[in-house]
Amino acid sequence: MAHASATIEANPSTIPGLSTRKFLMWLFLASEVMFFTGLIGTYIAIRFGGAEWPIVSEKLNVPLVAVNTFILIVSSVTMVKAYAAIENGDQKGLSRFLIATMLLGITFVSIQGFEWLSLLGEGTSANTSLFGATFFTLTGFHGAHVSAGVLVLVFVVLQSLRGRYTLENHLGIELMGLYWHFVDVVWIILFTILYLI
Amino acid sequence: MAETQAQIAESAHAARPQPNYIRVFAFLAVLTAVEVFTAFTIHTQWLKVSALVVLAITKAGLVVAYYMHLRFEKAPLRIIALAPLILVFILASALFLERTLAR
Repeated sequence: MAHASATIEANPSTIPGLSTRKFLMWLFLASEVMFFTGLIGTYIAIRFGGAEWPIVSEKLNVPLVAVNTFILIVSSVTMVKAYAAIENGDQKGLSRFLIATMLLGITFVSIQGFEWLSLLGEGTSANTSLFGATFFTLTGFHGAHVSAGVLVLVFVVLQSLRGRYTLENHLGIELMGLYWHFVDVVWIILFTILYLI
Repeated sequence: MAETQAQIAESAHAARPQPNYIRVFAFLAVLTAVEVFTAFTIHTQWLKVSALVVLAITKAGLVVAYYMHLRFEKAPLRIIALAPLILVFILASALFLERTLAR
């Protein structure tokens, strides 16, 4: 593991002036864009293709999810502030903002879990209708991405508390931030398509 | 001589400006409130959908440009990052055409 990391650090970049790891992260995110585009495209084709659809504002708790959207946006702010902190060499600030981001991520997933349980309690599931199938698929995959991000954040927080990230070496924080903000961007689109339109 | 990752990280650190993240957050918060307001007050479907799509794209653009720092990245990376949007556009157009022609 350490050997692999050292090998990457020592290797020249793929594109002049660009870190290979950052380049790979952007490529990964590009593939994720296509993944979610496929899912959203399917949703649009089904919903506007004449399928029976409930009145979304009556079926879903839009005010609660609007608050949850706000929470995810705030978590993006704390994530970018963590990055700004380590760019200024502030390791304590980094840890504080990373912990805040992690807690906000957990809150987001918890509220989404509450929403899922409420819907399941009302008899709406992925098996009952096309609405349920597309809703649980889209929010489920997004929630899985947030949950994966939270798990990685736990690791990153522990590393930051051990002083692993410094002014000179904090590419890991930048990569973590790229992923986290991407998940936020996906939710911005999903919130509009699933809850508001 | 080829640049090493450490040299790249150092040069990127020296060159990158730090935007006003709180101001961007304020824009995102206001746009989210406008979105919810739009969804519940505009009843003309095409107008509501158009407004919500524009608002969502604006919010996503702000996050990508300022929080993901794409605005401050080098041109090759910006091209790589934005390339999938061409495919997104093709898929969206195909769906739109399919729906329009099916009528």
